[in-house]
Amino acid sequence: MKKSIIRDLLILVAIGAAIWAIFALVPFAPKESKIISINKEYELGEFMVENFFNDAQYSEFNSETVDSALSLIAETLSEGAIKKEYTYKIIVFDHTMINAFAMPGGNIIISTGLLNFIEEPEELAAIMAHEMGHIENRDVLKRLIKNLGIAVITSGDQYVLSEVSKTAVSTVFDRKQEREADEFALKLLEASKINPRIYATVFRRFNEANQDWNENLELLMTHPHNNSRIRAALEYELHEDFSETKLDIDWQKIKNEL
Amino acid sequence: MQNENLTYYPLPQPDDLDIREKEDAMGAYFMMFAAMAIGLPLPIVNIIAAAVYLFMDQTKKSRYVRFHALHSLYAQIPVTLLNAGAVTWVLLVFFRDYALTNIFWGYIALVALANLTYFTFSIIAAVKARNGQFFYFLFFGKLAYHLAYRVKEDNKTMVVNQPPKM
Repeated sequence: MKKSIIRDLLILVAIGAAIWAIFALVPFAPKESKIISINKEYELGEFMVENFFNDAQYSEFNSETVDSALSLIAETLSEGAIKKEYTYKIIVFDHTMINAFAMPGGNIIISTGLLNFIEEPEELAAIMAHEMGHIENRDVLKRLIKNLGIAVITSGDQYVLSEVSKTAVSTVFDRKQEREADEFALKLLEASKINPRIYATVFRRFNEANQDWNENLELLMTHPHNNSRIRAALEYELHEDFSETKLDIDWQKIKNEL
Repeated sequence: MQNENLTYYPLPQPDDLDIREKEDAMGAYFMMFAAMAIGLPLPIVNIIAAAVYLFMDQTKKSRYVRFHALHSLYAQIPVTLLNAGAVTWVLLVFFRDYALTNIFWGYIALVALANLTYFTFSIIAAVKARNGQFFYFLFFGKLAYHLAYRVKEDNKTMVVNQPPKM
């Protein structure tokens, strides 16, 4: 009898676990973010970038030297990308704040303050790889859908969309999204022959800068998970045949342009 | 009934039971519906109510009523734990920004199915209990039977009264 009771208990637990697993693994409904096509996302991204620069305090920064350096970094990362659904567009805006963020449709927005803060091009590659992770995982879109609902995002109303754009700029991702973007970035850096340890360096510098210089540090500094991402970068296991290739960019020349 | 050296009391048949016993047995299932509603969103009241029902006036309760009270109480424990887990997880999603992962939705589906199954089987068991019949849930049926109908070792030993030693 006792054996029979234990056997029944095991069957019951197994049924429960199977139900949980089936519902967790089988997608019964398309994810909301998949309802928005990539083309629609490009349109949305274009509108959001335009709207961002309509704000009086932000203006686009144009410099051939800077643009070509950023294009070289983006190309190096794109060549190494395992999963790549977007064509990236790197846009620089003129502001002292140290910031970089992803916008829907492959747009990565970087401040001149960040370019000034960076010491070597690999550090910027690390940040761009992280933002590419958010873009490939469609994190901005998912976050906007979660915060505002799909009806608002797909609304054609210009006023509504301009509010959506403002929300997108201050989007804060959850831990899982940040962790996934970190994992993506570390793999991408390695595949692009950039040492992933640079990830730890750049975020350590952010932490240090955050201690004595607060007013201009924004999104990148406010990630509460910098210490865990530094640890993850240091613990990241490189393939045995990994060889590093330094980016052929004179960063001091870039800084002189700003 | 002999089973792995365990002895069980014979089960009563519908005609052996009086109406009071049948209604008490049915009550063991139905009282938790009300208790569960009171207990939400912190589903613990139903467990307390079921335990009170079981232990209240225990000496006067027959094995038949005790079986159904145990059956209802034990079947409620995993459902209550699942519900408590769901409430906690939902609160974490709202207040601690936990992600709405597939694992979360799978868990919510499991909790919904567990509640539905539990309510359905409880109604069936209650109706059967009112008719003087038994209905065994998987695992809980055998466990309640084992606990309510097993002849305990102490009961088998005959007590022989002895005169005082002179």
